Amino acid sequence: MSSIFFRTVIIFFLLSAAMKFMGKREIGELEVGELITTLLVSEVCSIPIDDPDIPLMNAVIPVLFIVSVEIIISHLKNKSQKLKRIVDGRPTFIIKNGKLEQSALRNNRISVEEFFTALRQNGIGKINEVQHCILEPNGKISVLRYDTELSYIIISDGEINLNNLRSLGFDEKWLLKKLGNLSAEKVFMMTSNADGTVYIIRKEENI
Amino acid sequence: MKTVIVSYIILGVVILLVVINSIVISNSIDTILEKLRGIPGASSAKEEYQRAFDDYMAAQRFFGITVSHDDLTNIEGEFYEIIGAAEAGDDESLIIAKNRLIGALTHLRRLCGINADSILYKNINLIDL
Repeated sequence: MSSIFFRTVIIFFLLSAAMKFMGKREIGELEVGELITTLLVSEVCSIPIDDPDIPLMNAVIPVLFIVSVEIIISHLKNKSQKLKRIVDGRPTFIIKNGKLEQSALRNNRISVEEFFTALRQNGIGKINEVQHCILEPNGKISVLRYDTELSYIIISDGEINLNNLRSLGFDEKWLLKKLGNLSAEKVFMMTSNADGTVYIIRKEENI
Repeated sequence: MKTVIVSYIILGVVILLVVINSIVISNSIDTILEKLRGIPGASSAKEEYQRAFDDYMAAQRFFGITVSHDDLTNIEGEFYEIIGAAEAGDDESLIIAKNRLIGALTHLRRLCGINADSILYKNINLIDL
């Protein structure tokens, strides 16, 4: 009994430290990779507590591995939008400019009933109130009414998102004009509305 | 950024530990297996079996932190059976126990090594051997 008690104490502190190390986002909305990490870590940790014949290191090593890999992948995803799209997927328009994309519902296996539940949960009573409805990579559905302007991310941490740029009907020439003397690598975030209004935040030095 | 650097270090240390652990276990078991195979299956070799057991116990300190206690207990049990049979002068039981021990050690060697056997296939419990 004492070994199980001390193992539980060690696992508790190891998990607490691991969750703290991974950051606050792990306890909020989970993306696919984060959900897998959370499930695996909790499962792996329970094994040596359940079975005293399994050495404690059989939980410690996998937890350290899973947590460090998750942090490294998160870091790499922030560095590369391509990797982020591969790992997390990309937001999908269910309603774009008031038009329902039936194929998006079908491809994501969302029934009409589930879709209307999501609309109601977002405070929407009628579908014609919605300008944009987006299925986010974490599985949540975001709804924007006609009176809300939708900003697209054009540059994220120095990397240009060509898909969003083209979705807005703009091209690289337009982007270069908007950036002026500033190079894309020096931009932390640049967003644009459909009318071409941009918002630019430069990268801070030494971070 | 510090968190990312620490993560890279932890990942490196974990991989290194796993590789070292695997190599140490494989080498230790290979040595013990070689010794065991060289000892004749007769009760007159009791002292040699005792020495092989002592060597195993010394090596076990290093890999015992990652190998299931069930597996280790089974191997120790087989050693005790061999030494007991040698003391009793029961050569037949000694040979049977020795073969079981070789089987158990081979299984552990396969389980702890970095190979397709240990990664893909079912890990047979030593109790079945």
